[in-house]
Amino acid sequence: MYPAYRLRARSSLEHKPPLISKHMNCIRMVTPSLPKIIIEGQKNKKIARVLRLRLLSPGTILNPLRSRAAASFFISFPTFEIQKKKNFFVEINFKRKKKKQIADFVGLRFTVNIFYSGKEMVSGSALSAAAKQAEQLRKDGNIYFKKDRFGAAIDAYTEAITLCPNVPVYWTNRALCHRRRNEWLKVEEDCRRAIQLDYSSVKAHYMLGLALLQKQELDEGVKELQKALDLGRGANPKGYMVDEIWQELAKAKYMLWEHASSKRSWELQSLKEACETALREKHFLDDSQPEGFLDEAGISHMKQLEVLRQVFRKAGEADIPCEFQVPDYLCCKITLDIFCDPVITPSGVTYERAVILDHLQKVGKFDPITREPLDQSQLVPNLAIKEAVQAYLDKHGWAYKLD
Amino acid sequence: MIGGGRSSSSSSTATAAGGTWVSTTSVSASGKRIQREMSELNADPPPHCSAAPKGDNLFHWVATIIGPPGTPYQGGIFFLDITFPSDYPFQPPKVVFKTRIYHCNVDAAGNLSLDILKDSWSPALTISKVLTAIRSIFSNPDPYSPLTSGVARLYLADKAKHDEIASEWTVRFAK
Repeated sequence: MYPAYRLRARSSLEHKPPLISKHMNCIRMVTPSLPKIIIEGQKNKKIARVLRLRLLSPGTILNPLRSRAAASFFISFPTFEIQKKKNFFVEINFKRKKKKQIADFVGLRFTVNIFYSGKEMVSGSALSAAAKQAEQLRKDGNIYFKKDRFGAAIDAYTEAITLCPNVPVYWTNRALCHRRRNEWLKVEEDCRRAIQLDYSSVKAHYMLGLALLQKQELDEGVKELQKALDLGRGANPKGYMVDEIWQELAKAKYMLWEHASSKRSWELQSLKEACETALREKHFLDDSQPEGFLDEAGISHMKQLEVLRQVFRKAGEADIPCEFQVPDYLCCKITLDIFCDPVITPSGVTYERAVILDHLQKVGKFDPITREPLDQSQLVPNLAIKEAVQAYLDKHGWAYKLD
Repeated sequence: MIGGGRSSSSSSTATAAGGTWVSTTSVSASGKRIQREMSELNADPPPHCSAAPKGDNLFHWVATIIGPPGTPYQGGIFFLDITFPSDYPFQPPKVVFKTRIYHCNVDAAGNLSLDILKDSWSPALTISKVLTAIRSIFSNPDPYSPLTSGVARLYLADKAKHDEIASEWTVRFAK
């Protein structure tokens, strides 16, 4: 292996990438910060083989989810990892094929094009023709989708996928169309593919979860929805989808609880009957003994039956619908509903994040209960309450019912 | 989670939300909150008050307050109309007396001046708290920010006379 020379171009990619000099097997360039980056590289196959291509940010290396060493390659990086960082270096490591042909190698130029996936290009370099066409197809698809022409939209996305199979957005968009047509098997397929390409896709996890719920695979579906929710909150806590995902998740969890609780109560009921019968039989045997005091025995028998009933009532209490009332301390004072994303104010009162933000915007900059001045920047997540809510919900599945 | 008549709208919003990825909860959020308040009122009503939706419309309620003992309004049953704005609880509900009342903070049309229903509104207030507040102005009228200045003047000048008229009105209109 040759010693790794690292060339750091201070320019962004609007400028020409650095020339490769003698003994170099790696180039680095600064990239502008982007929400999503796809790197497309080209090189002369004869003299060098690209080993890997990766994004580096100061101190960390963001490993691509998928890399392909080919003449032209696409790599997509997890979206929200990149959002957090500001400047990146693109590093291209390569291996020379023939050590002697250094002269050929010098002067080779890698072209690295960086563009948004699914959005306009930012750097000066051009998109490849296929990617451009696929983008256009996606836009067409979106227009069809807005007009509720799902068949046409699916066709457009399918073509885009054929051109550029590694862009997760095309897959999730197509899955969305399938979802609207209630073709859940196809939704599942597309989402799984999108997740393979971009594990952090909130939409893909969300729709996969819905598809699995449709298939009655409740446990798996709930898992996917939970993942979508976590990812959604991580990337954008006030995001437009978080609420919707939470509602679907709650619905699914409620269903899970319903199944489990009906099973539990059925088991409990049959056990109770068995115990009662056994007790009666035992008593009958006791009675048949000649010297028994009938009255006293009868009374103790009644008592035992009563105690047995009480025991079973206690055991089933967590599932009894008439006890359904979430404690006040787990409910937001504005929504009067159980917390999803609790935040605490400097006054010490906890509110639902979305609602307190609405309040600050629509009503005024004060704490709704204490009326002390309050600014959005002072809100802090209340993790303790969040955990308490989770623990409560785990125990009392019925509380997931949202309406 | 709570018993009581609820027309669930969740299924319709879920399908509508699918395409656009825009939150559709803003309308149903206020409806949900009103439902919550309704069930809470059913479970634990404030003393001498009641409130419930007028018909199928969740946003339009009727409430009654029984005049507190020891006041000229004692024994009277006062009806109120409550209208919730669509972005409740970020806007205060509109409360109007339907029963005529001789009170310096209530005008002839039944409008009442109560700071928490205007500038001092807070989304943490509920109908139950609003009713309690209204009931408290029965016992402690505020003649310094009156809607009917004549009544306020009489209240300050000759409270006995004021009370006499008020109880007369209560017998005439609220019983």
